[in-house]
Amino acid sequence: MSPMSRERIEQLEGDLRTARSSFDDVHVSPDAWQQNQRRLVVAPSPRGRVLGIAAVLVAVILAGAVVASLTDDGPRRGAPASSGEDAFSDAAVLGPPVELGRRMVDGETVVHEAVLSDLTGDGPMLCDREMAVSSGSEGCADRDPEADDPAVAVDWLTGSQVDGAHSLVGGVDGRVLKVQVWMDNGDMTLADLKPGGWEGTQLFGVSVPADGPAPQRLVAYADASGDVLQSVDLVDRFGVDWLPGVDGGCRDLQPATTVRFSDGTTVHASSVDAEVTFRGPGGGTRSVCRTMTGTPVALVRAGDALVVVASPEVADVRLDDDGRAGGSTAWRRIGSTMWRATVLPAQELRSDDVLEFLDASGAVLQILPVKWII
Amino acid sequence: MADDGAVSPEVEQVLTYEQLFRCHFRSMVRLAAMLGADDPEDVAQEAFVRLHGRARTMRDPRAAIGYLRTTVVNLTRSRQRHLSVVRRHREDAPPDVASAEHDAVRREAGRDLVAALGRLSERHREALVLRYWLDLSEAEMADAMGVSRGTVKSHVSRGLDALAALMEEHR
Repeated sequence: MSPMSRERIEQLEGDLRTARSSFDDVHVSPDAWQQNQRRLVVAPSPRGRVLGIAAVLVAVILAGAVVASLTDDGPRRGAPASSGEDAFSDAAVLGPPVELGRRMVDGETVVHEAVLSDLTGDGPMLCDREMAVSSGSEGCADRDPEADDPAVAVDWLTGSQVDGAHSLVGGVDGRVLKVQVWMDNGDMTLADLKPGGWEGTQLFGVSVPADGPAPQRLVAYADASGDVLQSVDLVDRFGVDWLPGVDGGCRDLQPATTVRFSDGTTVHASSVDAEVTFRGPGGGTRSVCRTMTGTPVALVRAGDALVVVASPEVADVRLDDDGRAGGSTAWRRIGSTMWRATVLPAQELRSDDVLEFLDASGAVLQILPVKWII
Repeated sequence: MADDGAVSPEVEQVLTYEQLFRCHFRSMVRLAAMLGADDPEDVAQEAFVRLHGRARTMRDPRAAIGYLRTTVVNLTRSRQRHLSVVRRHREDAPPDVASAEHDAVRREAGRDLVAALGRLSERHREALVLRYWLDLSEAEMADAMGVSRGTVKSHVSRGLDALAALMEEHR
């Protein structure tokens, strides 16, 4: 196609702008607001969605246990939410199958594959299977019902934990450049994203044996600058059973997971919570426990200081607009966890201030009014 | 009702959900119609329901209009894909029937151009609608489409080329 002339482009642009008036009389129901209120009444609550996800996870884990016993190959990732029969057939697939990994079981090579498939016309599902010469199993998971929401980049995610072995299979949308997988020992690995062959979707799989660290958090980035599209706390997503043996309420704190600051404040963390200990107004010490699941930051007001415990994608903290707490934040990693902590001066914080937590690109990840902290 | 979401951040910040709805519902219906949604009003309603569910956890509450716009773009894209999949699975599916919205559009001047726009790829259509019908900046377009600004430029340029080719075919 030869390039258009400047005149032709301008004519087309003018025609386009003229055609805009075709939509001036778009129909809007006179009772649109009332319809909206009725929709809000029946819309599923976030709590309902969490319960739905938990229910799916139970099914995943149970199915995984059944598959493990049938194939006699020890713990393996659970089959996803529904039967995946024929999901890999030519008529159903939306892209080529992607190999996620291989392993040896009883002398046989087992290949783990995933594919985006549409068996019923109800939309794409993420299906995966493990195939060996003598056995195999497969299943499919539905797309996140909020996948079209711009805040959602991880459109499919299933996981299983069987006897301490963890497995994740996921699909991210085309905006995602990289996915960090943070482990409960503080290590990080990048998911190997492979084209799913449908609308830019990229597929990945993560498998960790029982003697390895457990995947704890996914962070999907849009670019190399650190622009976070979405983070997923896997304990929050899949429930506390995702990390077997881990208890909340700061009851699992280990000596090695402590960081101490020059003012004597210490932050002691486990995989799921953090305990901040500081000198109180009377000279004694006070300890405050904060849960770390479902939130990228936890805050404790410790006298004249503000202790911030944050997940790895949080790069900076600043006060809204005037930047009084701006600048680069000096984070210290909390032992062998993925959490990091910093202590900020809090003398000048006012109750109407708003704290912004930023990713490395400067985009706002979370906003918290100071009045919620003090 | 106001139109097309050209509201300053300061004003945006103080709008309640109901005010947002009353000011911007029509513009979101219009955007969905421009993008070729089969039921533009339903798309806009769904976008507002999602905004309501997200309001407490939005990164930046001032970004409501951008959030609505992006959600309308994504919902329309998703529904068009779903419809195409449904059609693929229903061999006896009836031929496409134009909606009342489109009937009205076709009676208007520029209907050939609108029809040609509807035949573009979804990304090209989105780019041209956001650029020439909503007069969004490249940054706003990139946000709404979930792509980089460079990709926006590319989609606009290629979209214009494709549109010109379709109009030539029609002549």
